[in-house]
Amino acid sequence: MHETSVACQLVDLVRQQIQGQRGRVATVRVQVGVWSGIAAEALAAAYPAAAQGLLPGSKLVIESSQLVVWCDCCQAERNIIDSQRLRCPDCGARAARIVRGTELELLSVEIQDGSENNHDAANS
Amino acid sequence: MTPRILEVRQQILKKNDLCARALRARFDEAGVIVVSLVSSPGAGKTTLLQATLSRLAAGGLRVAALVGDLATDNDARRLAESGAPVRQIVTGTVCHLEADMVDAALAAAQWPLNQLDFLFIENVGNLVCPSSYDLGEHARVVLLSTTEGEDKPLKYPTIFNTSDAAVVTKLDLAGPAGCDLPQMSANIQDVRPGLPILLLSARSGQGMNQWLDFLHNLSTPATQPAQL
Repeated sequence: MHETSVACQLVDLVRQQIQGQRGRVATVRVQVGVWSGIAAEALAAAYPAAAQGLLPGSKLVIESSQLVVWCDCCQAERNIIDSQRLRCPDCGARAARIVRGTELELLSVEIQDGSENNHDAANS
Repeated sequence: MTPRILEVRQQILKKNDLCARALRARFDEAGVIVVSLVSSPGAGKTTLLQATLSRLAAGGLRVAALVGDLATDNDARRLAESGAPVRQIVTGTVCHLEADMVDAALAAAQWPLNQLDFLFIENVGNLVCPSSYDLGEHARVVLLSTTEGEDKPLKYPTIFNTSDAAVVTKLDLAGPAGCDLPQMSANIQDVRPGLPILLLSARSGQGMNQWLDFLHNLSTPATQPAQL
């Protein structure tokens, strides 16, 4: 379980990116491939604790990407679904080149203006 | 107020990747070949490393090892018996090594890297978490013992897919354990087509020469594995 450590690094990276920006982070959008080595559910579970006090009230949105390989025999991209084997679902040949599915990326940050609202909420 | 979107598109583990890249540049400059070992607990990382350090040192090569361990210094003590400089990285509750831990351990050890031929990094026994963290190594080697079951590569595809070689350990126990070696190799190839596979027993010595050849081949630039 290293999702906690990944969540902390994600929060650090977001804070770095928003330096100099006004407003507060509403949404953090990430892409997590099925072969990223990260379990999306575990990352989602770890995020609130990692963000607490640093990116208060922010929401994590995870876009999952399925495994896609390049099949040399078919000369085409192939989706690998419900399998751990890098084999072309059409011709059965092994396909070494992974096109998608290993991502672990911060895609974007949605910033909401209105720090006054925040302030009010904190005082109410 | 309408929200605004800040496009980023960056690796979440960018900080680790940058640290790893800097380490690799240092290793290249010093001319030291760095190999990391990953496996589940009990696959035989320490035993293989012990035998490897002894044999390389006996061949006149200068070797050292960093060893990650959750709590104890047992592995470091076992490795130190080989006579090679060994430094332990106690990870506490962290289940894997990260590049900055390697950096800090090297700073504390103060080994002159340019006077080493090989540096080994033994990761914490874990087939999940280490896959996400580049440590600056030239080759990541995943170990799988004959007593673990042939389907392990299919259960942990990411670590096999991100490795540069697989070593099947405890070859002397393959018979008693009823290990189907061709099936095990086929499963490894299915999650990482083309991955070099070595079969050995550090205890009996079987296959050790091929393993040492593999290591020696890493030190010739032409055969250095491409970094993923």
